[in-house]
Amino acid sequence: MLSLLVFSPVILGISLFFIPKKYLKFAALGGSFLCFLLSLSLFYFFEPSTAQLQMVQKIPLIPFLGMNYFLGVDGLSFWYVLLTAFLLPLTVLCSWKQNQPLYFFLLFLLCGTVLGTFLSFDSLLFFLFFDMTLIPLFFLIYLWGGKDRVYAAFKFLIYTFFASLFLLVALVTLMLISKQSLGYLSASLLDFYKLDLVFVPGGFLNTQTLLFFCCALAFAVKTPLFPFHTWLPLAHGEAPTAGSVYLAAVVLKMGTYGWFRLVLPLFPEASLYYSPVLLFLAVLGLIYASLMAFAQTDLKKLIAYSSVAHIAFVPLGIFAFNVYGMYGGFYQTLTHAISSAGLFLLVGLLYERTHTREMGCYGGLSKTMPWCALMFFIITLSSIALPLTAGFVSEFLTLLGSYLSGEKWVWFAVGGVVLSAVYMLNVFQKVFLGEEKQGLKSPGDLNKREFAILIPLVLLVLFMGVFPNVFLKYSRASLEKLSANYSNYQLEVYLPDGQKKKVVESQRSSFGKFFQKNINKLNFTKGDKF
Amino acid sequence: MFWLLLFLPLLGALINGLRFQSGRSDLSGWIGTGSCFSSFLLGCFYFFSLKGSQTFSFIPWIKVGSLNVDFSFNLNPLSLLMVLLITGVGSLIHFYSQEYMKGDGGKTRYFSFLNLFVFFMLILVLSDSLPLLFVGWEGVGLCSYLLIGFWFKDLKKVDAGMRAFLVNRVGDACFLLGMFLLFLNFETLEFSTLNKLFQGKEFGFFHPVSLAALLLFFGATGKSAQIPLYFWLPSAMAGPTPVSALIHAATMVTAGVYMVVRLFGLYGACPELLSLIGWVGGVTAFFAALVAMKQWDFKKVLAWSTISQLAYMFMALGVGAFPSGIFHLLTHGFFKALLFLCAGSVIHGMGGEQDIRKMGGLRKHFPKTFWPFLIGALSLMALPPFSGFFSKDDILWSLFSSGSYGLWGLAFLTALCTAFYVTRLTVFVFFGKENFKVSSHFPHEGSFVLWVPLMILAFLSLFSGGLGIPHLFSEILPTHPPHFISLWLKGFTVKTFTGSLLTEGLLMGSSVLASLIVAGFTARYFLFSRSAKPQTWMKVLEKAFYVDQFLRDFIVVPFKNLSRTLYENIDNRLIRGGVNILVLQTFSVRKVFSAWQNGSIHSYAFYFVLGLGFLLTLVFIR
Repeated sequence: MLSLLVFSPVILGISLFFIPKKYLKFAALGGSFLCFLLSLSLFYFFEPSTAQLQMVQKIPLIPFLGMNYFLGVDGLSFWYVLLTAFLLPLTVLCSWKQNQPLYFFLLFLLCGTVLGTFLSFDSLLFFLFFDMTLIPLFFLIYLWGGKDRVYAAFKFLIYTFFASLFLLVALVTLMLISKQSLGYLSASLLDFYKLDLVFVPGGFLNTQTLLFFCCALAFAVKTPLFPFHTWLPLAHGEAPTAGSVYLAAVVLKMGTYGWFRLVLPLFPEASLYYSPVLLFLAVLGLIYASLMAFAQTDLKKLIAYSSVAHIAFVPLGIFAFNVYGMYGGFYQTLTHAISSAGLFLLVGLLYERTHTREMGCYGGLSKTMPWCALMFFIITLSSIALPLTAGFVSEFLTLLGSYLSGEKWVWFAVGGVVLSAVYMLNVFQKVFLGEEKQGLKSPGDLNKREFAILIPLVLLVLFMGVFPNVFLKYSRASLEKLSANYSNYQLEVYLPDGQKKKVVESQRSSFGKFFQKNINKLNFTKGDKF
Repeated sequence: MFWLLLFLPLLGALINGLRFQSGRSDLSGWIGTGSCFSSFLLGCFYFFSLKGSQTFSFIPWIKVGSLNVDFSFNLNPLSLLMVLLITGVGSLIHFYSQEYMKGDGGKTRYFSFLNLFVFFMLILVLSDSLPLLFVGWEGVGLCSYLLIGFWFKDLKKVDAGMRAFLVNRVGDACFLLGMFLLFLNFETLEFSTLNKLFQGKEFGFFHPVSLAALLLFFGATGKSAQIPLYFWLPSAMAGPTPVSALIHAATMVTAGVYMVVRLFGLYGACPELLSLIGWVGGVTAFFAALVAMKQWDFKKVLAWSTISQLAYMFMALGVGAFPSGIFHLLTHGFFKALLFLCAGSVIHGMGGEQDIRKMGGLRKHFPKTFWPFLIGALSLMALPPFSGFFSKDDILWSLFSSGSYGLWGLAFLTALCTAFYVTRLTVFVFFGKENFKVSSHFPHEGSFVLWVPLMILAFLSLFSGGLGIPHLFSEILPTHPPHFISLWLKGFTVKTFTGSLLTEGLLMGSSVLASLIVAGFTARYFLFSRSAKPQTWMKVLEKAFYVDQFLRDFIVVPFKNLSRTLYENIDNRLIRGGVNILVLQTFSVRKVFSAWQNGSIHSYAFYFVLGLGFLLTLVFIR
């Protein structure tokens, strides 16, 4: 099931090359909907009451490295999977002017690799998918970006790739440690959780601290956390709309997912010990990025900086080390995805009409585009965390959590709530209010396609704000578990009653056997050197 | 039925909101008025059937750890009074707006916002817990923003709306912190539990509980326009006048007072904080009344007067006279809404003119506005038998009898200033010679849609004083009428005030007499000799002590510069530049690019080997 979910976008994407140009867009749309529907089936298979790993699929891939093709889903990844699949049709819809199969293929590939990242529970597989996402995104920016696209694309690639090398180092080291303490070489995250890493408070040269900083650096760049954020506004500024949407809504979430999945459960003592550092960076980044957003005149960069500011709430919540912060940080990842996706889509469609992103060139648009103004405003409200919109629930919980963490200067994070209102309302005013600007081509209001993109997002913004429990229900068990015993976090495979034990074995597909046989033909034997 | 009461305005807002493009349709006005009025009727039903308090639970909202916030509402005597005020005055103002906004292209949008405001205000007063109150709290702020900047083509108005929203945001941020502090200490945010927790206790000023209450109060100063967060209200007058009447006089700005009374247990347990609140109120009252004396804009005079009157309520709260505060809140809601609607009627009939120097002698042109206005003005001046007299006297009495003579003195001085500016306003607008050009269309009295609400509100301003007959009168009168408000709000009382009848009579007489004297001299002065030379100290008052200029020069402009400089120097140069130097300079960007694209198998192989080598080194090195 999960494999189908991961590979269907890729396969569908490839098949787009064989479809006549005339039907390309419709095929892409249909395909993306198919992926989304597939992901919806998770609601049927997923058991929300347990924190254990579900729908597991495990096939040995490279036995001598202990690497398995190991997919699974739990409460932490559940919503990310749905989110990723949900955004695919929207991004296809918003790039309706494209007619190249390669473009759509890259979008689908991006979706597939991101899904793979969220679903894989083998560290090497995780890393593989984690870095594979760079490729489609790189080409999306490189081939369809704005005028600085080459620079932006390379900066994006080098910056994030460089950071993820640290992740690789950490993962490989963990594998070696697992060999030492468990007796066999394993790349499985579940085995990693069992490890007990040496930690010396204050010391730098001990395993846990070193590994913690390696992982933290990788995810801090991806999240992005101040001061590792400069690649993001640049990439956003140049990426096509669909790329920006995916980048902000999903790709950054791989970073935040990493905090939840790897950093916290693997390095609990180090995380706790260095949490003031991360909290400090988060608060600083929050205020700083808000100020940056206020200084921008380019709409897209402004939204990008606001995205940086809001994503800072996630580490703020996580490293508060209490249940409120944990929930808040997690929910913030979802609400941030929806609102920043919405804002990028809106800026994209404004750009399509006016071909400028300079804020000074806009004005009085709510006269000619009232619906657009309404949508923009509602999403803005979520972004400035007005109660009954999605943003409020998450930021309220995050702030509450960080407040309870006991660090007094965390109070300043509340300033971020004020500042976000400053710059977002400023944008709304500059673009939609006031007199209509001379020379601005009178743009028509939203068409049906754009309504189809925005209405789900707007409804979701309101729905997530009023009924957060509906969403938290699926992640409650996992979050509860993570926040209650992060220091001794274990993840077991969930087996529904009646089909105990052998499930995992039977899930070896013929593909896996074939693969394994061929691998074995190469003259590696299991404990040869390792 | 309760849900109808709450959700009808939302329904109205949604219907009007979705058909906002229909522009001038009359239907929108009826939808708005109808939904609000139905809520009012339902409120009346509860007024006669409510016993004690009643809780209505909807669905859970946020449920994390021990934080358990439901959409749960509580109907108690206090909130019911507020509901009646909001929906009652609200319906009148909806009705009034139909004429006022006639011909405006955004009429449907206007009614949608107005209904939404009523909905959020109802949430605010009916909420059962602090987070839910915060929903209404921010919601009304949003509606206020939308309605102040309703005519969005004029950026000045939009700016005023933004200012209101941001100033309130600062208060709200502190409100959040206060909430967190309470939660940190008591793990609950429900009103009933909180109030019970603090019964019979006393906390010093620096106790966390007191600190939390202070933070919440800081939020209240934003919403209720008290020092230090008062300066948004005068500029909020940019909105349509009915909006000023409903939001910036009768209902939203009283939210702060309501919040303090709703948390009577908490505030009652912090006497030192309460006296601070009283002094904030006292200073604000006097300051705002001073500024109101020198304003030339019809609505601005009323706005400053609103600040001053709200401050009276806070003074009352400061000595623990919670029912008196709510009593003044009610009567002020009536007479200030009345004054604003009268102002709207005049401004409407004068074609948008707001400068009182360009009015004069209007009582002949606006007879149906003049008499209600006079009632409202006398009520604001607190002369008997108008309602303002009863409520303000209640406050003065509680100030005096609780021994806060300083506060009482401030309140007394403020009353004199009030008499001055009200008389000045009335004389400038309705008496004297006409300082405008009469044209075929202006000035003209509005239709019945405009003046019927005026009559109703005038009636209320005249007689609502009967809700709180002073002790002195009830002793004298043969029927001994009770002090209705105190009885009704028995559950929210933390303190009772007693004193001799003689003192009460003396105080009452002296304040009325002083007000009358000031009013008389003012009227004489402005009627017969208007030619005073402007003096510097007057300029200071006119500019409201230059606070706006100060804010612009020392907060807004530096903030803009700061963000700009930070962006250019830190983000662009230091961080981005630093990273570039670290990573790219070492390779030299172009060389890397071209090397990557040279298509040579060798280089690819080289990278591959490099990567693999790196990996293997890691693996073997251990």
